[in-house]
Amino acid sequence: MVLMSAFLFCFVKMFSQSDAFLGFLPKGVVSKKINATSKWVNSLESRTVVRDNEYLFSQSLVDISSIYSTKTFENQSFNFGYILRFRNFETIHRTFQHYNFVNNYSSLNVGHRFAFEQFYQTNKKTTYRTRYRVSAVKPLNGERVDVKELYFKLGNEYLYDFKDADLEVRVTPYIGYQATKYDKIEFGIDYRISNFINNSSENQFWFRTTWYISLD
Amino acid sequence: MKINNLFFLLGIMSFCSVFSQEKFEKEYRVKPHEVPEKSLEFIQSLNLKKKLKWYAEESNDGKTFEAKTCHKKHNFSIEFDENGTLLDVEKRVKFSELTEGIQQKIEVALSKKFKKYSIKKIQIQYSGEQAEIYAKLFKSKKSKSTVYVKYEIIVKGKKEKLFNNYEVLINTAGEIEKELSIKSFNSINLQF
Repeated sequence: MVLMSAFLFCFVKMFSQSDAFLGFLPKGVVSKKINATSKWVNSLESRTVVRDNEYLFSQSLVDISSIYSTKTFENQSFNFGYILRFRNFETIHRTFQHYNFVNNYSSLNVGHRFAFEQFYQTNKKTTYRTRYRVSAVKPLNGERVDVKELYFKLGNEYLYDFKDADLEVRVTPYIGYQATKYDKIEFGIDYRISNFINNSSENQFWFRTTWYISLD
Repeated sequence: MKINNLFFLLGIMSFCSVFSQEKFEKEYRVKPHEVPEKSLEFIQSLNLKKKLKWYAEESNDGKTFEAKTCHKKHNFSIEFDENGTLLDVEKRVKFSELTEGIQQKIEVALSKKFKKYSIKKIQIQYSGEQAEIYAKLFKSKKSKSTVYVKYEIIVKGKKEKLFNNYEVLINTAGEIEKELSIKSFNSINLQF
């Protein structure tokens, strides 16, 4: 309820601004089990801006990531990853560390992710960012998500950039479809509001689609 | 841009995978008029005061119906076959609510099976004559020997190096009748 209210607040606020970004964020995530406790996760994400202050339909950036994930307990894991970002004519390297834990309730699964990120760029100082995300998955029918069933996923994330002293908040309602035992696809909105602290908020409104494939 | 073509290809592959064959197993909510009449009559005879939810479960083994409700501060799950015949009733309890004798038997059985363990959920499972189950559970009358009692326990247990979740069925003699490893929920979309 609180998350839905936050989303509605952000949605209304976004449309009251004329400088809102609009775009597409397609993403593919492929995971492969290495052994009983670890897996290797790779992803490819593209960002296409539909509308901003200057451009109409432009390729904004491409992210390629590789993550090693290891389970410490049955519902907890640590991830160590690297992202290569191509943005216009520059390349940004990012390393990150995640700590995740997932709680299962009767028909609700709630995941928490704590992250710390480092950004490296030629001729620029290394910058740091921390983030926390909570997301919940609820089947649209029954108590668990079965194959060929739809589910609802709601996420709320807070990102703090140490260099710019900027807080960004993301609210992400998605509809997901468990296509087979090994893959699921999600469609939804990724709403981002940044520059909270400086009181000159920027709004971004992305249509996101993510395809998760498991090669286990 | 080339990358868009790649995502188009990924989309086509996803579409194809949607139609690939899988082992069939599905659980979903159903309305009272969709369940067998016999099961509905039994539930109505209980005069339950709290809200009741009906579920159907389909698998390669067949179809069952399950009514879930709360009665006298306990969660109940009442399962029927496709014809509406009562299969069993499960009553969720706390470990401390069991008699000391049963607690000890369960502890001994689990200690033999696991190096370390913690109990996450216990349900007392009643099966047998429908009328006897009705009398025992919902009219608080003493049951005859036609009601069979077992304990379905969800355990977080360690056998080798890692903890895993197990569903263990223990009888009143403290013998483990069934043990299933529970595959954890695939939470990749909550982590990445």
